[in-house]
Amino acid sequence: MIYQIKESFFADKIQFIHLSRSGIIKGTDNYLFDFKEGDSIFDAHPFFESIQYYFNAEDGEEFSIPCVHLNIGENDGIYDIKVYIDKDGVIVALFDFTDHYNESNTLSQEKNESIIQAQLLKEKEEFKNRFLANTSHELRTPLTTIMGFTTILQRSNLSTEQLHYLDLIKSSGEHLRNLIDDILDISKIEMGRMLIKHDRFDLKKLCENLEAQYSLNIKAKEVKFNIKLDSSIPEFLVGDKLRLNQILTNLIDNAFKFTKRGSIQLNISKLERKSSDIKLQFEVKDTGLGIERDKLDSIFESFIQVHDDPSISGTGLGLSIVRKLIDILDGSISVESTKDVGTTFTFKLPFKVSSNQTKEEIKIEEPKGKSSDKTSILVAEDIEVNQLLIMKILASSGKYFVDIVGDGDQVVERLHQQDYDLILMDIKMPKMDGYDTTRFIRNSEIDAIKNIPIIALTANASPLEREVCLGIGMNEYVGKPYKEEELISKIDRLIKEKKANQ
Amino acid sequence: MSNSKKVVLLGHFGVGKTSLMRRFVENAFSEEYKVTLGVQIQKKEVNISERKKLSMIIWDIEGNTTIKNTRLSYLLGTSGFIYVFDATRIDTFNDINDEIDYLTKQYPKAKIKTIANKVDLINVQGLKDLLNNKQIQCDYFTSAKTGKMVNEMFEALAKEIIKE
Repeated sequence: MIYQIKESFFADKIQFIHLSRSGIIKGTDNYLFDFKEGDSIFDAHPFFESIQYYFNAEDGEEFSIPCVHLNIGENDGIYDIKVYIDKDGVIVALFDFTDHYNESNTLSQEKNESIIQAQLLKEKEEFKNRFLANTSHELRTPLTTIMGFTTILQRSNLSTEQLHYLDLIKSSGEHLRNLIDDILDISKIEMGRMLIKHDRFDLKKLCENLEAQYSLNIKAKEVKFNIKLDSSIPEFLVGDKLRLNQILTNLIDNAFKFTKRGSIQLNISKLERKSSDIKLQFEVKDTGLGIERDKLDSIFESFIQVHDDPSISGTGLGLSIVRKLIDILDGSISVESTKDVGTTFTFKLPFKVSSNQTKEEIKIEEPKGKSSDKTSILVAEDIEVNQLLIMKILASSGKYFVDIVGDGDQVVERLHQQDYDLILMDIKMPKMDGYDTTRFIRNSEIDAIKNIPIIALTANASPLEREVCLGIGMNEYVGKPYKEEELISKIDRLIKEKKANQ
Repeated sequence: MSNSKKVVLLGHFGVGKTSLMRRFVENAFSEEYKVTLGVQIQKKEVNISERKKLSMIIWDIEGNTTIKNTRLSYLLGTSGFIYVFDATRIDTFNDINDEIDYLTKQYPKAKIKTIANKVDLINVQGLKDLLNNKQIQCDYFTSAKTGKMVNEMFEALAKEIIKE
């Protein structure tokens, strides 16, 4: 009884076919497919033709080929197939699992589609990031030349009018550099590659620097700038000073952009303090153009500019960067504004109170021995116009002997021929690049070469790039376009440190 | 014995294995992605010369991120492998050198072709540079959608198989 039920249950799901070793059908139950005795199974479907090598196997062997699509005549399904080799020939068993496989098909379809979509999205994001990084590099290189030679030209004998034009070139260059930085920043934040630091910093000092920075704007415009710092806030905090400064600078720059007269006020107050955790509120209040109510919601979006005034320039990324930075610093921001009255941005950020509230004087000892000796610098830079710029900058200070080479191979060659006090190393160079050249130097067996200070000069300007450069053994990093004073001060500091250690 | 040889299409899912087979056998193409479960098989006769023909029995097997996860019974008795990757998705060719090494060691007699598919969607020179940087050898740059190099690729493989 049970066998009859079993047989009737599986009858239309299984078919057995008896074949000769040459594939001729000797017998079949035809439950699934209608085959004729005497025909070749190889003509029924190419699948059988492609497994004929199984038919020459030893007696007693069996093979299993699951999930095979077979469409023969009107039947179209998915089968698990077993092949048994026997002294009487070959038995092929077909098991119909069409329903079972079709059910799992839906799940596989959804899973595969979502993985493919995620991979394509990742490709697009990476393409965007690569594009932005490359574009930034390509833009920075000529900008370095423009800015550098403008500074050099300013020192030559020029008329007041010519100097005024140079000022305009320089301020446009600075503006362009800020725009490039903005585009890179937004891309890094969106890729989750923005590194957040937790360093001790002096909040009071940060405010003093902001006051100094904006004093020029105050002179130029009829706008007062004032900072009010709550005296109960400890002076030394732990957090990301660079990003806090970036947020404040963006908001204050924005305020100056839209305020023609009146005042801009930065208020910093303590919201709460629990043990070493402290939460601060920053308020940037202006008496500027104000923003219409219906546009307030969109001001933090990328590439949105709510004012149509063509004289107010920008990428529309500043406030988007501000909000995204505040998000990754676990803070919050809000805005209130009245048209023609002014705007107030308020943001809250958590910090830690530093356990050390004393000021530390950083002293660099004067070098021992003769300090009047000229410093000899080896510059590795492949682009001719950049070579000329560096030569001009270093030569004009009168403190340095300068040698210039165009690739990493030549750096190594020169170091073995002559002693240098410091290397300025471009990163992207033909033959051996700046990274490999630095690795080579740091692995040298000659102490004078191994320990030579190296400053990276790169158009790949980013905190990540800085960490890479320092990580492989460079001592300092200067992003292009650089300021002459910054470069000279870093060279001098490293030379002093080197001489002090000798 | 008929003069037929088994050819297997390998590669990650969604790279266009089924589309390549359909373009070659039926000269048809569909934009719709439909997952392949298990294996589907089609046959096409290729003229090798005026007097010589070869029936290619093409096994289009389900996509897998690595050949090691593919059912062994799908791969046995294969004369030619076509390893397909998606030119628009780097994840489908990041490990290709390991995959080809594995195939070469496990099936030393089989002929192997490496195919970049969907090249209608990309800048081919850019892909060639990328592959060059990654030291990836690619035999054909195909598009199942436009038919570019599809027949040429299958026919070249057929000729190589028949040479043995």
